[in-house]
Amino acid sequence: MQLAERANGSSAEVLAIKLRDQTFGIDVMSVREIRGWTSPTPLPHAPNFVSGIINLRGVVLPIIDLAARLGFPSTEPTLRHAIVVVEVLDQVVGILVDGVSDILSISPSDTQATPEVASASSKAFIRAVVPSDSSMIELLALDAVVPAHSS
Amino acid sequence: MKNDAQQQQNIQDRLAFIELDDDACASIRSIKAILDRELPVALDLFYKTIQKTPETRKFFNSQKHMDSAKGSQVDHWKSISAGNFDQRYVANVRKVGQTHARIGLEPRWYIGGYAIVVEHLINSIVTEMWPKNSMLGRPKIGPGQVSASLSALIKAMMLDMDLSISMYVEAAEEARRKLEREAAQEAERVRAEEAKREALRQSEEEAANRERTAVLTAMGAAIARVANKDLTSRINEDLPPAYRELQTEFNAAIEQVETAMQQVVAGTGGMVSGTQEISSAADDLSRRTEQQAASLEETAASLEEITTTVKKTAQESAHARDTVSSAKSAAETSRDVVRQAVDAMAEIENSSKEIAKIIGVIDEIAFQTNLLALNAGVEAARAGDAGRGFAVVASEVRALAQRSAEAAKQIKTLISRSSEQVEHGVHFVSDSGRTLEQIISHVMSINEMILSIAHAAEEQATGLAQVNVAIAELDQTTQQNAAMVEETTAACHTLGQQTDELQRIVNSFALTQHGTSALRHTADHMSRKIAPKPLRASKPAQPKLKAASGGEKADWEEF
Repeated sequence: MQLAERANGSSAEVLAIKLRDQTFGIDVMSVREIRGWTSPTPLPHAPNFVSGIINLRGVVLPIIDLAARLGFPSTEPTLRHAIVVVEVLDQVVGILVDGVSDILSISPSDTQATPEVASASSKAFIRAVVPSDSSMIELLALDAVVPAHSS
Repeated sequence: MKNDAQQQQNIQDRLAFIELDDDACASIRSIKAILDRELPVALDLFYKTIQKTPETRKFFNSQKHMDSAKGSQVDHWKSISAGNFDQRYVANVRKVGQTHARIGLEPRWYIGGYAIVVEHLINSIVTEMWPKNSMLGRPKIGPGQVSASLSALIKAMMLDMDLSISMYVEAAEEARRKLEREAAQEAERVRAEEAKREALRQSEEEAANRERTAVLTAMGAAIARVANKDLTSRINEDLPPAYRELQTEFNAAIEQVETAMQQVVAGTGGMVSGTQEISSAADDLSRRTEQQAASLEETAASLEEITTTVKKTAQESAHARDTVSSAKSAAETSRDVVRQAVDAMAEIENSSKEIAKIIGVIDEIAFQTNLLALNAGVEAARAGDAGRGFAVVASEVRALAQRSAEAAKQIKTLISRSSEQVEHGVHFVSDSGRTLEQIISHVMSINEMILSIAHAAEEQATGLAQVNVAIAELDQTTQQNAAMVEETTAACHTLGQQTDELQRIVNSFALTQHGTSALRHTADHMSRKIAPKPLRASKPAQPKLKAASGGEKADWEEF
């Protein structure tokens, strides 16, 4: 099905992730790697959504707690948590999520705009919403999630 | 009178013999004044001597008696001093002599008295008449006159003494003669009485002989009747007075015997009834003893059953004890089994934990595989159309990984449930172990109880053994009693026979109707009583008894 949609050329591949019983979608093109939880080294004076840094094959990788970043309470990570390594604007960061469930093909017709009632921040972080069966997939705006370079 | 004359002649003879004539009498009279004056003095001396001498004092019972005697003597001496030896003088002398003989005054005291009186008188006369100085001019008295007076006085005194002693001797002689006379008369009287008595005795003997013959005849007849067993026999003849007592005694004796025999008859009746009662009692006793023996036998049998039951109980108790011991050892074995079960459970738990660990590893592997598959899927997506086939493979791998994870999750659930169940099992087994411990303690209690029961049963068995012994002894005693009762019964029957014999003998005596009628009634009553209930052993004796009573009746009708 995904393959068929992808064959249309109009559909996009989305990595479905689990956070607090919600499903969020991340564009597959941004994803470099998915790996298990590794305890990060905390960084002094880091924002509360930055869990710390890890050594990924010689590269220092900062870890962002997606829950904290989205305004939810901080995640208490376990071995069953996953880190999704993404590259946004030439910046590689790890996003701490509760789990990775699937790779979905989303056609543009399925997506709906984030409702206007939400705040500006919400609209900044959620690019669009895909209703799926009884639940909902919120597509993350990674450039908002990953804070811009100070430079 | 003649006597008086004779005596007078006698005195005259004496006076002549001693030549106390008228001159001598005149000489005595010449000193009469002196004599009359001095005599009381002499007599006083004499009576003093008498009073001093115990042998003579006893003749006078008082001073008055003595004075009276003295008075008599003074009177007597007046006759002498007057030289008057007449009838009256003689009578006086006689009286004095007789009195002396009567009171037993021996002549020596009389003569002694004269000696004292004469001594005084002679002293007085001589002193009075002895020639004194003639200057007084008194008429001279010559020694011849004094001598004549003294000799006359002494002659008179001698005469007096002679007469008095003669009287004494005469009186004594008279008394002796009187005694002899009386003795002769007594002898004669005795001889006469002796002759009379002899005659009387002979006549009495003849009468007695006659009486004896009559009495013997009467008594012989009476005794002959007694010998013929006739106790009514009495001596009714009028026997002489001498034999009345014998007759009374004989009749009384026979009556006593008759009474005794009547009592024997009555007693025999009592014996018959008593013997019968004893016999009946002995029969009763025999029957009861038999019943007792039977009861005892039943008791012994019941006791035997009880003993068997108790023994069985003891055996059962022993079996129960063994069973309880087995239960106890089984329970102890079960305790070990429970312990092993608990151990096994623990091992199962350990194994479950190991499995859980392994499952965790598998889950981990599935997780990692899933991640790898997702990475592969991402790579494939990024590769675009070129990665499309790889994406399919990655998707398949991811599906496998997810199935694997699912399976691992299920196994984990199962394992954890199994662990819970094992835990429950351990809990239950522990409970079982505790319950088993309780069971063991209960079994121990039961064991103790059963031991007590077994012990009690043994004691009961011992007690019953003793009771058995006692019953055996009782049985033996009862047997002995039964034997003794048999002997008693036999003895009773013998006694009954002998009593019948005794009654027969007693009934052969003839007794007075009046005394025996009541007894006869008793005897009839008894013989009737015996008839319906004869003693077993005395059955042959029964007709004999009846015959005897019949004969007895006939005898009585003669009365």
